[in-house]
Amino acid sequence: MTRVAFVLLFGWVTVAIGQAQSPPEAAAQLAARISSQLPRHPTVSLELQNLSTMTPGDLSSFGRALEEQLRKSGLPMTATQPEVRAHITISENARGLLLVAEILTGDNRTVIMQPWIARPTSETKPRIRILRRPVWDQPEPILDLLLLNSESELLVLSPTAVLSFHLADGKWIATGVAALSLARPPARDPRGRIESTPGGFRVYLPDTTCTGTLQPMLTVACGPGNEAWPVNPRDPSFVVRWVTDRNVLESPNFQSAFYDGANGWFSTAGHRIVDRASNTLAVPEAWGTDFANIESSCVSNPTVLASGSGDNSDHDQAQAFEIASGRATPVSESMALPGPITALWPAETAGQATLVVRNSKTGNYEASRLGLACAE
Amino acid sequence: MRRRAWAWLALSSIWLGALTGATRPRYGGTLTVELSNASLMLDPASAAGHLSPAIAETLVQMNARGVIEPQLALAWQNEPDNKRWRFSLRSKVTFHDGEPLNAVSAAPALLAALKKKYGDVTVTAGGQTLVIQFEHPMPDLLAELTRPETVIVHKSDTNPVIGTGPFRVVAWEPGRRLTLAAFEDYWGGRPFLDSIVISLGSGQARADVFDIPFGATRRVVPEGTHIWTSPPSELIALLAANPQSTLSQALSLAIDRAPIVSVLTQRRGELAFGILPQWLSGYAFLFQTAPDLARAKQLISQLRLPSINLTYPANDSFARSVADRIAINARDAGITIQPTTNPGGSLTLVRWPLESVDATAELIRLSGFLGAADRAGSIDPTKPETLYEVERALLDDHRVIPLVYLPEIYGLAPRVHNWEAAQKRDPFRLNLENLWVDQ
Repeated sequence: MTRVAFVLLFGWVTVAIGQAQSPPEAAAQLAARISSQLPRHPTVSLELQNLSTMTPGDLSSFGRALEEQLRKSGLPMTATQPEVRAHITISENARGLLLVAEILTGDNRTVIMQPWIARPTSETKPRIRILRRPVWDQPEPILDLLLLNSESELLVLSPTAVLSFHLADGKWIATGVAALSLARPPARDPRGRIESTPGGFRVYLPDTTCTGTLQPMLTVACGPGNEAWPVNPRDPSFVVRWVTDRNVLESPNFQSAFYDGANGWFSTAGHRIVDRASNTLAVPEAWGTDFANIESSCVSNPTVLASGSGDNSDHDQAQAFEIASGRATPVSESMALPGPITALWPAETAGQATLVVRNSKTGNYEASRLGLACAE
Repeated sequence: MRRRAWAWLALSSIWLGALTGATRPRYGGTLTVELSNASLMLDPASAAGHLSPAIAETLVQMNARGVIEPQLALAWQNEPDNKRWRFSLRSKVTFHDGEPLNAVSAAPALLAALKKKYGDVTVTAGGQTLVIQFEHPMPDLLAELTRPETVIVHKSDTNPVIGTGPFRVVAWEPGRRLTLAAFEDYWGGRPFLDSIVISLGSGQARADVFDIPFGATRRVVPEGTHIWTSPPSELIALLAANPQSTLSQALSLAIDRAPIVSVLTQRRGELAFGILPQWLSGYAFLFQTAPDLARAKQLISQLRLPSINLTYPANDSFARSVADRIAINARDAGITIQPTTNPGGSLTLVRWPLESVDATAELIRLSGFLGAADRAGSIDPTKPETLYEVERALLDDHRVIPLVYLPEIYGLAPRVHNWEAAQKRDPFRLNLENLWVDQ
């Protein structure tokens, strides 16, 4: 399980990836291997070829670093009449980037290969004022999370367990795991909710409802059944329940199954946003299935955060919309996300929403808290 | 060699891997599929290919990066000598007939599959633990257990394949149709689709999903159809009966692959100079060469060559076209080649489908087919150079002359969702349980 440093203030955080190399680090390693093949320090010319999906920026950085490292290791670089030609190809295979160095000395060719786990390109800070605070990431799906006791305790709901953590020195330290006894196998598109209660917490999953305590230790007791729960902790009038074996909700407030609901609008199986009277909310084409209430002092009308649309599994987006007069109007720019949104819920704290994204590069599920800040 | 059977129609190992796009998937509906190959069977050991992946599962599976992942086995450990392996089975898994998966219910199918290749294997069962024992070291057992032949199944009088997968067999008419229904109790979560109807030997393009084979009579693709192309997943190559011969060396210099790709595959194929494609090895570009007719003529100038038979698979119009093309190139170099479907030619045109995304496993497997399994012993999976060196040596023998890599191509109706996301898990396998359709 990987950890992400917890940042007390909203801000952008680059997730550290173990063993990943920057272009200069990869170049240094390759240069060392090349120079070990050339103990007599001949003059070398360097040719670079890119057969990978590497960005031009990283490619350029790698090329400069490699030339510098080769010089440092005592190999004089020359473009004319070199004794040795080093033909470097940034290639790619099923496992990732592969550096291939062909060292050509007369008719002799030596081939050196070096896998390269490249660091993902860091996200660029958008101009929008949706603020994202990474909280936790893990390989297993994250359905929901709770921040308790002034955000010093964290509960993470996965499809088969609740995990608890305590914040110490800016890092989450695991304090307990409680397995969920499920009435049925988890849904294929697993969804679930965790809410705090005076004595602990409750978990709502399709066909399973659980009650848990945190003290003296983390415990969970589950039973079959779809109990009702409020989508927004600050709006007890809108209660829903899961549909067994499905990824959809039902509610006395609405006549058919739906994916999400907020402010009297429901995201239907037909991928329309409608109200109780089947009036359609006019939404931009980019509006997806999931949306969640989020309070903001910057906008007078109700505000929601919505996921992006489409089947794209590489990336997704979140965008804030103001809902008024049957129309959703963007009030922020879209926030690019590194994979599809798998959960988007109003948080237990006003002005926040819980977001879970499945990172398409790492495969990890990344849970964040979103907030809105007024544009300057 | 056995044609990979609808390998894209495979299982995901764990429900945790269920992939979805940005739009939340929808449950229900029937997916219709048309496949041109009428000889596919349900039996995973069938030489004609099989349809079992959506129905049955293996102990472990390989992900898109060639890493072994749990499937029906959650954990495993091996003794240092690699002769004894212990597998802990996933709990709360049932077969489609309601029988629970445990070591006793899993052992017979596993033992029968392994016995076909390894006479010294024994499988002992206790609770949820399977112990697989060999008298010889089996360091590659995990890769072996990803193969479809080792699926955990049993059968009844009415159902030929009772597995643990996301879909169960409802009706099976060999050579015509397979009907599957969602397995409600699937341990990985019920699939999104309610059912799948697969028509075999169909030349139509009216289904939600249909294959577009090379060389066969082209399907008329309806407007709005999305075409999905896999990475290169099959190697078309020439096998020479006499390796290291001047003839095969000259032939490899004479063959011009470009027209095969541009004309015969209509630019959907890829030039093949190595055994493994570039996307899998990362170094295939190192093998690239240009045709050298003058050098080919020079090589054979002192030889008195008889007419050579080139055997290609019967009923394979694409292979026939390639063989004809080779004959033209050869004639230009002064070599007379006669394409034929009669076996026993000095040259054989082969189709080698990839079966794994693990470059090491594929190279070892293909080395075996080339009768050079011993060479693969020097491969160190952590050192790509060792794969390159082995492949280089195999090519230098001129026993095999790679020609072209082919992808698999499918037409998809607009109502089919999650195809791209689902295929990412494995470049040429698709998790059907993660597909969903508009209704």
